[in-house]
Amino acid sequence: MLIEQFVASGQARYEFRYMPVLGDPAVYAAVAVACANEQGGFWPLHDRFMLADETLFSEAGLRRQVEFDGLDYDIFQQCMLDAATLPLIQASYGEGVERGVEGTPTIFVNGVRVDHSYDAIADAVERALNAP
Amino acid sequence: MTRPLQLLAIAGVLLLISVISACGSGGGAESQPSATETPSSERVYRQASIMQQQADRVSEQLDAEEEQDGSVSEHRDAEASGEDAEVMASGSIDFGHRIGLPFSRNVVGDPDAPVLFVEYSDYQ
Repeated sequence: MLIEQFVASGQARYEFRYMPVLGDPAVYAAVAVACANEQGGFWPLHDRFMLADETLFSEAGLRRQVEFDGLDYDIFQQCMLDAATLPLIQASYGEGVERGVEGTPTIFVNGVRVDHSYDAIADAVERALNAP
Repeated sequence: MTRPLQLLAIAGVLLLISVISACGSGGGAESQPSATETPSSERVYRQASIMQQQADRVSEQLDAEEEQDGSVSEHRDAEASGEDAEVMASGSIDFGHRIGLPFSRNVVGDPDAPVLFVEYSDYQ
């Protein structure tokens, strides 16, 4: 919510990158969200998985959510079956490793890694806004 | 191959195995509400074959990128820095706590905002 505060004020934009370090369900969810992203449906499914909605781990539950979000399920399903987004997940994960990410969440502000506490993020934003 | 790429290759193999496992079990979670829709073994084998080919291509592509002048992270930071402004401004979110905010794909917020948050995270 802190990040949204800065995003809503127009001071910042926020990018989510996949770093599935928590095992099979995390990888499955990342592939699914990336497939939704292919149809412009990143945020609704992202938010549902962030809420740890276990119904999404069944095909029926995932289908309900995808269709509720207005996406074409046939296209989505084919994306899942082909693992079409797997290279993106791998690239994002590899990039995180390259940047020294060891756990999640890890946040960078204008390329500088910061702790995800309120004070650290607020200080980083302040420094970024005042940078020449 | 450099250490980061070695780590990436290992991560890629682990991810591949994880995805195969997750999809093969209909999601991988023991607490799934429905276990009646498990993909057929034929489908899983086909999927595994395709994913292996994709993983090989990605590995080759990353090796090629490293031989050129930029790293993957530099490329992605450039993408998120507003250079692809036409893609960035593709809609606004109409629900939840980000309502009204412009978004494009996995990026939300004003493309011209001076601060960029990048969060590496996963789903649990």
